[in-house]
Amino acid sequence: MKKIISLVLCAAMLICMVAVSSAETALRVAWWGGQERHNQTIEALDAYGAANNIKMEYEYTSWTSYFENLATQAVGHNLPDMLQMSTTDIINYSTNGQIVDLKPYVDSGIIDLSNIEEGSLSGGMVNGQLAGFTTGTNTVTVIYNKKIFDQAGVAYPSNEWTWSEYIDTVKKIYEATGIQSDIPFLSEARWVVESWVRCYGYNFFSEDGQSLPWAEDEKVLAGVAKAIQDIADGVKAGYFIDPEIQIAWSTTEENYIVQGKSAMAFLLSNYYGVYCTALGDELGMAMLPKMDDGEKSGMYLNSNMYWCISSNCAQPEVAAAALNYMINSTDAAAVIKTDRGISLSSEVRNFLATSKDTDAYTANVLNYVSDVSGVVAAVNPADPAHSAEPISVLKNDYTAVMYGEMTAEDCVADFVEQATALLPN
Amino acid sequence: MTKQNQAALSPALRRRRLTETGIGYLFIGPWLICFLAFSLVPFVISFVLSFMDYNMLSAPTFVGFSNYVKLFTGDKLFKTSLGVTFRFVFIAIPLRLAFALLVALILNRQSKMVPLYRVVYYLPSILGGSVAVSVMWRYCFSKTGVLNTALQAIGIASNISWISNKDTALWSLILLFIWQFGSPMLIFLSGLKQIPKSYYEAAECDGAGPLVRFFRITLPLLTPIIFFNLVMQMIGGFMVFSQAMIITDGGPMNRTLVYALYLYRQSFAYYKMGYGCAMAWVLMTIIGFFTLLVFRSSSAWVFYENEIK
Repeated sequence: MKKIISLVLCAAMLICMVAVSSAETALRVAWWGGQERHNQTIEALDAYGAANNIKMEYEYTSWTSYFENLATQAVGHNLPDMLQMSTTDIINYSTNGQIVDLKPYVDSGIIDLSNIEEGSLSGGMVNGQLAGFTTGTNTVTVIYNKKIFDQAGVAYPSNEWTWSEYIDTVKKIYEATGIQSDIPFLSEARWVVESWVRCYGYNFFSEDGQSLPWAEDEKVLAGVAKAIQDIADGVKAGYFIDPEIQIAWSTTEENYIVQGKSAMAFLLSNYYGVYCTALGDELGMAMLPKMDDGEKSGMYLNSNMYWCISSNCAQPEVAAAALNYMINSTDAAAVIKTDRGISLSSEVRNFLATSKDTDAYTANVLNYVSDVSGVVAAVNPADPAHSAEPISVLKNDYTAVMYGEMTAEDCVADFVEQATALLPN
Repeated sequence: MTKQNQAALSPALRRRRLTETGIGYLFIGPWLICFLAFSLVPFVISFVLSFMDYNMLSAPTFVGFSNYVKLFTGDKLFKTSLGVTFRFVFIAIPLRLAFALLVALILNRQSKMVPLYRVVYYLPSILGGSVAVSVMWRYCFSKTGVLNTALQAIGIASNISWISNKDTALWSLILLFIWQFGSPMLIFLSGLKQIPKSYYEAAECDGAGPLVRFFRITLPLLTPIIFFNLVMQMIGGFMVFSQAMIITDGGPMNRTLVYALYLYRQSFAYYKMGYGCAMAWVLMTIIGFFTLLVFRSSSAWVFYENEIK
């Protein structure tokens, strides 16, 4: 009797399991970010899933473990259907066949390009394939606390200011108010070094991704070394924040600029809104200072990140349609705003610019990025494969200079040497 | 059972013995399956992968010894991470064992409170490599953390960020490692309880003080336990990873870049899994070498009571 009952229960359980995994359209979406991004993305995708009768499954993590997770899923051919991708990894995933070409979905109209300039997709092109759809453009900016500037009696930075003017400003504010400024991009030195290199007319990586095009130009090497040295001198003199303190910041709230304890900070533009909200006040935005002996502005535009479709996705058209929603829909944009960069779609940009719900912070970022687009020729391509390690070397050496452990010349020389060794395939 | 004896068994008895063996295997079955699937098979695969170039996104390609060659000749951070790991192991392990022994000695007395203290002192070890403890440690040792506040309260002007200062970063990790001494402590405690009280009574009669009793009776009789703890802790110490990753992420300028963290970075952040596997096998060789050293030296300093003839 007991045997029969247990058999019946087992069978019932199996039937239930089968019933649950019936053929309902499901879509697995993965992204990285902070809690604010998780909330916004889930809200936008839930609305889409409800409207189109798709069961959405979310896999979201913080930045630090995202790509390890993705790599292990890739080994098991189990990548999520729609995934967020970064500029540093997209070439790797595409050349190894883990993400699909999106051009067929563009051609068939599932992904709508009517409001998007085709040229702006260049950041996601890998070997002639549209490997990822740029979620938005972002750029770098110097955010500054206007109240501290007023207190010090220093004029706000202009978009054309030079490196010497920047250092002078930092000094003057420190002398007048005792308030320091952040070390430029201590968390990722590459962003500021790239702006210096571009002032001399070079790209950061060569077109084929195998070398640094500026590695032989003495003028550039000297200019970069001098700029790093200026910051290190400032650390010693006290007008830049101690690297020991700055290096320990991990959440938005820990940054001195949102506590009113720092006059200026270098930031990626898509975080502007979050920082302003944390401070509770509007921060100013200025372009990065030009090198004194450079020929042009060092500003650049990046694809912030991409949406990609994995090659093991069973229903790529469903994923493509969801991708189109995230890129083009004004409903999605109303929720996500500029967290993933400034949209490529002119319709979305206009919507955000004119909507009553758009706060001042979003409007500032929109205006800033369009100002930068006026100065910059094109969006940067994705980072070449094998570039993660040299970028990490640069970050370490730059930090070492700020700690007083390395000279600026050695930092530049070591980075160039290691990049030249590590970049080629 | 000799073969003749077994043949003399009745068929029923032999069947029962086989069933007992079968049931035995059934009981260890789960462990056996997990061992094969999660230990033995990956063990072999990682050896094979160490001779390959594997970026996880495509099938691996054979490259022979080049991973090992690159590791020993071209990798600056390999030596750095080994240095950090050796510093960590040779400082933290002796200190941890010393603390464990000290606390075990204190707890080795008849008192109603001892079971409670045992639990309290073991608690940190259960939290082990847990992320939450590491995050908490990070905050405690930061510039505005509990440690600085406490030091300032007793008058020491302490303003350092312990985890991002290049001289103290590794020590904050060592301290966390020492704090989790519960496991060796319990083993020491059980070892202490095995020492016959009659030895101590005899020594006291002969007029031996506590220090002499410790060095002449306790320590020699504990050497098997010390030996066991030393080997186990050393193996664990070489593989320290999650604390370094969460608290300092390799530390200011690689001051806390322990070997396992560098291995993880190479495998996942730089997509060089084959290279990481080579690093893993080098680590295994190093751990094996030191373990062998300890084993070989053990005949000189480990004293087993049952060896007295």
